[in-house]
Amino acid sequence: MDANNRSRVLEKFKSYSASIPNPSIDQFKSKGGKVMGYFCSFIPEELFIAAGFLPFRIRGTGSLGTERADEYFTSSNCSFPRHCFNQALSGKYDFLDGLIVGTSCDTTRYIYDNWKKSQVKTPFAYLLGFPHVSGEVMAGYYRKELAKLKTALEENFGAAITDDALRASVRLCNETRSLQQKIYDMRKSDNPAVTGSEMVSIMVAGISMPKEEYNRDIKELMSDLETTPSADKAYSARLMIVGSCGDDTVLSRIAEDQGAMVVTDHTCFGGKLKYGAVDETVSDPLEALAHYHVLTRPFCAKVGGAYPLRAKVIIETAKEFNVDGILGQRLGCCDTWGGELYILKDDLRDAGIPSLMIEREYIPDTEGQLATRIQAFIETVRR
Amino acid sequence: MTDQEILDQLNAEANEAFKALTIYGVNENARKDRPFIIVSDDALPEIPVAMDVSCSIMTVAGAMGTAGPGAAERIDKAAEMGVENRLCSSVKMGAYFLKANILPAPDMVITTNSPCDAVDMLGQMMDNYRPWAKVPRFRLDAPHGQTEEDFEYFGGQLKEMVHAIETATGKKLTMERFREVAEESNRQASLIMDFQELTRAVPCPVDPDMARVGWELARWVAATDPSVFPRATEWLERLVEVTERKVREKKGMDGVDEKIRFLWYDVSPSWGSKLFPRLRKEFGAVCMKTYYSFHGYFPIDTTSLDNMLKSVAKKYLMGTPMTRQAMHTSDVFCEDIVHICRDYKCDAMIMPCHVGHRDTNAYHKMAKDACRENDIPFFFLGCDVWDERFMTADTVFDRIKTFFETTGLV
Amino acid sequence: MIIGGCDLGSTTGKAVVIIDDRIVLGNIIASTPKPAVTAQMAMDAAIRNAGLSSVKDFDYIVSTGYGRLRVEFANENISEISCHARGAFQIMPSVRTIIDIGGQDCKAISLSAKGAILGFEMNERCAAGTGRFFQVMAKVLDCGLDGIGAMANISTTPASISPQCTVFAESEIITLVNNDIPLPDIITGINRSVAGRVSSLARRVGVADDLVITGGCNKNEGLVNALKLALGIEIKKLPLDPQFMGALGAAVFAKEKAVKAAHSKGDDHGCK
Repeated sequence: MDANNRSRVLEKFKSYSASIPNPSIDQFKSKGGKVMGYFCSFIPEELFIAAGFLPFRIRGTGSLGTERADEYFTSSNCSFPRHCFNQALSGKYDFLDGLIVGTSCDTTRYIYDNWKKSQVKTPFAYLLGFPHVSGEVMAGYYRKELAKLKTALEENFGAAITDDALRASVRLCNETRSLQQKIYDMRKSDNPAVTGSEMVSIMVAGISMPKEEYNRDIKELMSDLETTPSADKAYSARLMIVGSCGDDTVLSRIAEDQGAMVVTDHTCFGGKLKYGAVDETVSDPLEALAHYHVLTRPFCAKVGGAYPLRAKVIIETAKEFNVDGILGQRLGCCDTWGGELYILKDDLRDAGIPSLMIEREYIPDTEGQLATRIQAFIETVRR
Repeated sequence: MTDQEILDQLNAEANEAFKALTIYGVNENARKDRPFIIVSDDALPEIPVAMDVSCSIMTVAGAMGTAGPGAAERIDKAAEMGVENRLCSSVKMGAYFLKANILPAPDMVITTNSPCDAVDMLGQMMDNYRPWAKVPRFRLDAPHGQTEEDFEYFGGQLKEMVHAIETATGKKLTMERFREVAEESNRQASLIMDFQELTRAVPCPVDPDMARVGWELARWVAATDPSVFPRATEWLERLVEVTERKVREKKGMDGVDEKIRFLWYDVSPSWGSKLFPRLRKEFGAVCMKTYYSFHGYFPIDTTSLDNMLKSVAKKYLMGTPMTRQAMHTSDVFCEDIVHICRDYKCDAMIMPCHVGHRDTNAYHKMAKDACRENDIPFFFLGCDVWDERFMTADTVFDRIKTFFETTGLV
Repeated sequence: MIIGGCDLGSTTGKAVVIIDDRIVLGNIIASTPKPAVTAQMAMDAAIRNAGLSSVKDFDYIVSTGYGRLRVEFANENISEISCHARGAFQIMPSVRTIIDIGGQDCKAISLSAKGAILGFEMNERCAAGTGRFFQVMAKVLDCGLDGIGAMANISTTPASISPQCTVFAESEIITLVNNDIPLPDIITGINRSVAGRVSSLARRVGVADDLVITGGCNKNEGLVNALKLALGIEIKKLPLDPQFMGALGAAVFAKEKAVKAAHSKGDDHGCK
């Protein structure tokens, strides 16, 4: 049976991941709900959910160019934040009630400044400090930063964010992570339950809609996938995608169109998000959240001291999923991932995992060269 | 000696001392009789000087490698390594030194995320550099904020760093020696402030770039060799003395008929000797400030160890060039431009917007707007301060000439 | 067994026929705006040279190159990286490094002793270091591509030309012409500039003996000499026209597929 007909949830997720906003957000807002847009993966959605808000991870989906953003940035800045900001300047993010920018990379960090000073009318904007080292002291620093953000949200929106509400949202998001992990696990077999492109939709939808609804949908999806397994699809190689962003299907689509199967990933909008769980036994939920992002899951490539953990997780995942090769992706002008993939390539080689490191634009204007590279790589690693 | 001869002498001494910052100098430093540490970014010299250890800075060695004969070939070799091709060339060069295995194994490596993604990445490459697998590492987390809490947070890490240095090198930090060095550092900072104040005079008495030279001597060179620290103070005293005299005598820079004062608000280019003298000669245009010749006063509070470390932290986060401009929100940069132009009577702001500086490229519009609001003529270049091939000194000169002409400055 | 390989580059289309063990090259066809048309013309030339009558005579055809997806008569398509590697290794098993300077891109490929691809690099979205660079410069100098090739390294004072960008370089060359710099100096400068960029790409995969250059730019002796200087290594000459390596590799892959299919099913395979 064709994947398109297997689950109405899959179709819903594909639609949600390909658009900004979506019907669930429209419905949430129509009931008076507030939406918090945010950059990046280390910002805990739990905090916004506990306040009754809907968190929305900002992306540049559907962007047609960066002409407006390029009045603020230059071509020496990475294309992801430029496209995201271009979408904001084009009115696509007018539905946001707040913007939270984390101190991740240089270019993304300054979206905060530019967004505030531009004509984009987002009522609340906040710059959240995030540590660039993984350590106990740093987790303590992040806990303080989260507490400051919590106070700012409470004061600005008249919301009350209780510890009980935080604990409940931690449980909710842990459930999300656990459900997402189960779907990933369904790709370990020789006949993966979903393709790489489908998995991107599933993960991106998860950060674009209310979690309760998403968790219900994922359970329905899992049931659909179990009752109507996909037809045995022949593929030439099992691949893993590692890199920044990962909210689009550019690489997975190109690879899968050429006969490979993307079986797992370690990307900022994908596999990283479902890793581990926030400790529900800690009495201070903010401390638990800080601990999770700084110590358990320090997967932002800007976190120093944590590269060995990141490499270990990538290599273990590749082996668990019986991967033939890794496609490493970084965007042009991304110094951070330029370094990360440079270091990683040697570790992958030592682990016996072939890799192809690709530089691309967030929205590539031509895919011919990408397709040639990926095809050549598949030809060298095919089983 | 004439004033110019004194200034030439000061420059000659500094150029000789700067050899310690090059890749050759780094190798020399390793051979000396002190524990040898390699750091990714600024060395916070008060600590190594007080502990009698030698700190060499990778990014600076990289920057110096982009100048001089053979620089282009070295930069290209670095680009072949497969890191982001549009990475800042100074950092590319540092990465190349690692790849080419031409650095001596240090006793310790200290890295940080500051001041920018590129240096952060270089630091992570150093942290994971296999030939140094057994070398103790320490990583600092520089926060992006400007509050007392941020300075305390960083100061606390500096305390841990001191313990780590003590463990790795066997050298101890004593309060007495630390206080001595901090007081000398405060004296140096005060002298740099005096010099800057004197360059406000019209005409400008001495090339304001001497503030950069003195600062680099006192901070970077002294970090590689603590014995340089007091000599740097003495160097600054001589600089201030000759500058004071010239101001009293209302003398401008030798051979310069000063007509224009401008701000080049980025790193001073390694090919600057092909540009700035020509601008002075042809237009009487004097560069009043670059990142490394602009300094605020951040004295170290010597009342207790914690206060000392906290104020060293603040001096680093708010008072160290590049860190100041790249780590914080854009209002720091924009307010600086306005103050500098006002205080130093600048006629124009040139924004080099180095291609490797993702931060300035990300807020150049805000800088332009700040200039417009304050009636400061603004010019955007987009050059490469290390690799002249990207935009040659001649091209830069022509563009600045056009800017001066269209704004009526010439 | 009659096998075909078709390489559709951005500038030229080439085809190779293998009849049992005999290799027959087609002609080099200038690319038309429609790859399907170019493919047909390239294949027709090879068919004529081989004394055959139609694509229907073929057991298997593989297409490669920029336009590989548009070749209607191909059984499958394979990347030009794999095909260039396979083609060069087929006729020179000692090859370990291949540099291909095509019309719109350039690639470096590193091979093992068994002909497996160890690594490859392609230039990043830019015409500098490709045949396009030469086309632009030839137009500016009004001497044609042949003119550039003809004036092999005869200058001892080559002009310095930016290797970074075709547009900037074009501007630099106009300045040089206006300043009456001799044509041989400019052309040698162009060759050195391209060689600099290409050799940088090659070093990223690692340069090892034997090294060959495939693609049309191989015919520019000045460029080959400049590359030799830049790489510090002898450049070996392929025994067949280097522009056909992609098509040859495609044909070799096609033969392997056809033989495998014949053994597993015992049938002959017709073309699509």
